[in-house]
Amino acid sequence: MNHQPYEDMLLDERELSIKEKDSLTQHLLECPQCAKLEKSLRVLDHEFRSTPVVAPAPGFSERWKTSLPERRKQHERQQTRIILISMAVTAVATGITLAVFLFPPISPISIFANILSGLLILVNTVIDFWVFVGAFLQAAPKGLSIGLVLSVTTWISIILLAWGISMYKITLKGVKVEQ
Amino acid sequence: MNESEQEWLKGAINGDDEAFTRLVETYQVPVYNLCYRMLGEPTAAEDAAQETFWRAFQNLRRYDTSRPFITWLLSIAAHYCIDQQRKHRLSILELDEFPDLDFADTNVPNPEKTVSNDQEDRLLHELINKLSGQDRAAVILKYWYDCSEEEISQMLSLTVSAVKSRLHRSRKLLAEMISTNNPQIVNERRTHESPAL
Repeated sequence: MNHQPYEDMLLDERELSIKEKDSLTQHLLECPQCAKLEKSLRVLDHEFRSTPVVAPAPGFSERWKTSLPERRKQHERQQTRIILISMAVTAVATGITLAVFLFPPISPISIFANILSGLLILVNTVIDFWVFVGAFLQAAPKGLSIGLVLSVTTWISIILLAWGISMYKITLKGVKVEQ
Repeated sequence: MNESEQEWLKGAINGDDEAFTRLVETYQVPVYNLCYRMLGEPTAAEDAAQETFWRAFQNLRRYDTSRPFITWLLSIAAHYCIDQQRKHRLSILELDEFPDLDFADTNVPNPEKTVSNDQEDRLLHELINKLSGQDRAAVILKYWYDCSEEEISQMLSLTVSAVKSRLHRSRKLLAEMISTNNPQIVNERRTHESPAL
């Protein structure tokens, strides 16, 4: 027995012609398999139609309203993160592009040697500077040395504090984005 | 969409939070019901419905006013719930067997077999829980919202033929689950049934 056309008639929920209806009714009387499917579908349809629409707990729109400022803040933070990451990626990409254009094609060993020699020069410069500062402080009167150290330390602390606060504000509080 | 709803929509597009809150009040039930039917759990449904309204609020400028607003909202909700379900399914092991379902035979007069709405809810959820996210969304939109296949195809970003085949497959699977777990219903009905069509 070919069930497929009758199964399709039952499952597709399309409008059947009178001929199709007669043929299906006849088939359902003869075929227990399709009759079983038809009955199951009827139970299913009843279940769907009789199950009510569910409403949310009272105060849904109030909860929406209350959550709006927090969602906005979260959105702003997310935007900030995206901006910071984009900036970092752009900076890295720019650096790589510049390196490609500025450095002629040289071997990785010579690049490594150049970096190492550059680092050595930097360390020597720092040591020289430190020796110079030490000599200057020894030669200068004691009060002036202490004042100078205090002044430099204070300024460095202020700059670090300002930088820290700015970073905190940007990363945690976000940047205001117009909706 | 009536005039006042259109006014609220205009206001919301122009950044009026209060106007959008009124739209939330108006459409909370259909959106929540879809989320509840998709996810089967009140807390998850509440979160999903709130998220749906937030996404709609953020993307109001992209809303195509030629489409009904509710269709657009339901589309956002369905996509969000499908994503949530996919994430959830990744974390749990799928069961191969059909759940043990016990449906009341609604056509046979038998008061003892009457089940409460809560039970029916749970059973129906167990049943549709076996469908994939998009199949489930298609079935829910078809049966609870009386959406046409064209509307469902727009909401779920599928072709009409894909929707038809999903509905066909889902109905077959659900009918098989019912008859596998409740052979007595099918047998009992023989004596009470009316002509098929």
